[in-house]
Amino acid sequence: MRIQLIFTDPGSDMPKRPILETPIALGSEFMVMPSLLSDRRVSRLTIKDPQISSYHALIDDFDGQVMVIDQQAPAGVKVNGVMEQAAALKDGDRLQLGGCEILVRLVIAAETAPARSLAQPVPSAATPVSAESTSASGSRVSATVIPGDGCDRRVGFLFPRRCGRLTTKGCPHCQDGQMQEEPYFYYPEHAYYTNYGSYGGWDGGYGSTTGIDFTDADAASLATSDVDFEQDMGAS
Amino acid sequence: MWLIYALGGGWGHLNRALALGQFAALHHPIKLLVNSPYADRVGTLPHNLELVVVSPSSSPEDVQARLQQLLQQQPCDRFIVDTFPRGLGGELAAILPRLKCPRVLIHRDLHPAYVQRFQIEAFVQQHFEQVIIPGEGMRVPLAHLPQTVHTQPWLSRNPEDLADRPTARTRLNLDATTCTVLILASGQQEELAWYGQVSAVIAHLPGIQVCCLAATCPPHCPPELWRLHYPALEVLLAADLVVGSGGYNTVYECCALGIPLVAKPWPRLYDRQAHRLQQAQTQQPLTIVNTPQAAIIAVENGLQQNPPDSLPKVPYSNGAIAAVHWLESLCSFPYSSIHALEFPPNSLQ
Repeated sequence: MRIQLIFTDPGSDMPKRPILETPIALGSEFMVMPSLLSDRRVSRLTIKDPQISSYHALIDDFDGQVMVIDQQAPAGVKVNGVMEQAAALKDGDRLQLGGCEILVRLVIAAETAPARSLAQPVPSAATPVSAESTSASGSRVSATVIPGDGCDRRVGFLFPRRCGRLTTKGCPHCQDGQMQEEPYFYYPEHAYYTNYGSYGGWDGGYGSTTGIDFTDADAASLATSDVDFEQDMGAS
Repeated sequence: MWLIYALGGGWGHLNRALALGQFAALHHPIKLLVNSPYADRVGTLPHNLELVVVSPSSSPEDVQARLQQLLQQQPCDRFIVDTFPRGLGGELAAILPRLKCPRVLIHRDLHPAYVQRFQIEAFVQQHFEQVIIPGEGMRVPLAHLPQTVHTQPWLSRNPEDLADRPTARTRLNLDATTCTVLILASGQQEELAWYGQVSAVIAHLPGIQVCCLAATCPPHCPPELWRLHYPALEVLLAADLVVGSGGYNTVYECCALGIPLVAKPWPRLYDRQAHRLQQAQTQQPLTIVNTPQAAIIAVENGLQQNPPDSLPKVPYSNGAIAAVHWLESLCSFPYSSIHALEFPPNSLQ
């Protein structure tokens, strides 16, 4: 099951809307959270907040019922304001982990959205649409349908766009759906952000902008495709 | 005679071949076949180095005929191909199998789609005894081939040939002590306006002087900022910071001298400037930009981060010299002279 978690990242104070496959581990240390649970890949969501434990909570799907389970974090897990060790989640519930409040949207995409061919234009942003659907177990759940299936990670810094792979499997941008941070989208208009870019070992005084640079996706945007090689004697 | 095939637009193929040719010409007669529109800007050449210029509008058949003529005029000891294994128009595909001398590919970056479509890897393995990678490292498509060797980037001048910073500025009619930004404007004609815009705005920044080096004055560039100097490397030390492209010369010349670079990657049919810049970011102070506004901001930040005249002059190793040694080490046996070889008409594949 795919779940969208909507929250404001405490580290960057920027809104985040990752869509993740269950099971989902939430914590402050990516490497501490498990990568596999019962041979299933775990989506690991890192939230940098001093009150959030290294491995704080787990969201998983048990026979169509989405549950959140506290991983014995000192700060605990609140569901709609109530401290819970384990609780069922429904669409629109609000989780509280430390100082971070997370809106839970249950997403049914693969079952309802028509398959999109590679030639079709990629939506620039996934706009949620309320809907109802039936889960694999037959129970009815209130859900949110995301137009356009596949990897929703936004890629590219100079030429931002949705990744748009039909599946997150093998995606180099999100590493099989596990990496949800969008490091290149902290700023809406990069051209007017004064310190963007990387000067390598030049200084180290660039703070949070160090490491933001031209990406593989940008390179792909500049790359030549479907052209007639060996036709231009002035090419380079 | 060593014949260097270096067709291709812009400065890159021309400069790289000249860098090799000038050192090789110390011991061997060199013929260098080019079609760069900038070929007439090259000044005096060393004795033993002949520049054979074909028109940029020449067809692959024209080039093939010219090559056949050159090969029949004089025995060829080394056939050296810059960048395009099959030739820029595919015209070498028919020639290479018939050559009876060592064939060497100078492997600048190539677009993987081209490599795949024309099965370049198999072609190079079959038709080239050696592949020399001039400073591009392992990131290029044929780096894994067994006949590959690497050198440092090939530069048109050695460190001892460069003017020091005050002298370089004086040669560009600039004040010898003022912080200087050099704009290296090259590439397609329609791309030059980008450099002109950047030059015009940066010229108004306080406390710096700007010089735009280009073959012609770019659109929007105030004429008083424009200079023509070949090769740019001779006066590059004038710069506290350079604005340029992601092309071979600009990137590796700035890297060799340790000069911060603000670079815009331009799309090319075969070359991947963005890819080169991404790799170079780990080795030199470099900011990749897209818009003129971003370039201007990066220049301001770059100069703040790097106070004028604080950069040491870094002695560099010119890979072109090592390349000559690699080429000389190739055994000519069992190859024989190409002198009498004839090509059938319409043999272009």
